[in-house]
Amino acid sequence: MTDQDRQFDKYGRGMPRPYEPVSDRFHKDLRALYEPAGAVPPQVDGAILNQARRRLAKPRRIILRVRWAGDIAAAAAMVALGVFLYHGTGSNDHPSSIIHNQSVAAERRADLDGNGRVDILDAFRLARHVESRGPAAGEWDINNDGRVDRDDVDAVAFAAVRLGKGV
Amino acid sequence: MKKCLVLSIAVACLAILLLIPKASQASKPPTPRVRFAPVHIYLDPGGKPLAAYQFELKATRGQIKIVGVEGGAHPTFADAPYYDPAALMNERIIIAAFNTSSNLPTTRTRIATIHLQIAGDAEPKYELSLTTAADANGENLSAKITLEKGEQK
Repeated sequence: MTDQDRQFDKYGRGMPRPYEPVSDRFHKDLRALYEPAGAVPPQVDGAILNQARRRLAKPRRIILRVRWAGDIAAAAAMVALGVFLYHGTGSNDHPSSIIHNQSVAAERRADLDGNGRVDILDAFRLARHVESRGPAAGEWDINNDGRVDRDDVDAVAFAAVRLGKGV
Repeated sequence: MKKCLVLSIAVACLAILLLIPKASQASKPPTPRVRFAPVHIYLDPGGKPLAAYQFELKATRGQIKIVGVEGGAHPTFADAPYYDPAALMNERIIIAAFNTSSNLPTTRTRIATIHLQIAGDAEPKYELSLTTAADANGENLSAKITLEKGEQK
């Protein structure tokens, strides 16, 4: 039987060895080796902790502000969109509104016989006048192109058949 | 928490957007029978030369849509008359035409044909009114306007 076999027989295979106490001197030497040089006073410890808390708290507040600003901006954009959709299309400055106003004005001028309505007889009268090449009144230039011709006749005729016309 | 709320709202919106077309398809009633039919408009100027006319046609019953307008039988009014393009796919139309030539119809003549799309089985009822009719001098005529339903397809 070898020494190694004897050792296993004493403690059992795989069993931990029993604790062997170290000397006091060895214990002191170890503590001296790994202990910090000087103890930190509790005031210094507290001050460092407070400073760290203040520093860490600042970015969090900024992040919160940015998040709120984003939410407020999104809400404002939605409100603005709603207001635009509600009022924007009805504005008098809208191109379709301008065209509509112009066409209403043209329709009023298209009532050549002044009977209060624009009908095909207004276009017919203007057509006869254009074909006779007689002197044309300025207000008969319905499409504002500087001359009275077949295009003005068509403009009056289309005004006569327009659905939902004002005149 | 807030992130979860925003995410769940976004998911809900997406789900609604995806489900709306299916829901609308599901709730659609069965498509009614659709047929096409012309309506011929006749004007009788009572022996006087007809130089200009204007009339209005609208459906008072039935589901119709105007899909086209054609000129009349007489060469003077053979070209397509004036009408508002907005009237197409609508159920009301104002039609007008004039001619300054001397070759004018003096008897009953077809002045226009309106092509209609009729939905459903109900027979449409029309209201036809003559706004004005005039002779070559632009004087009003006491003309009579009538309509005739054409063959359905």
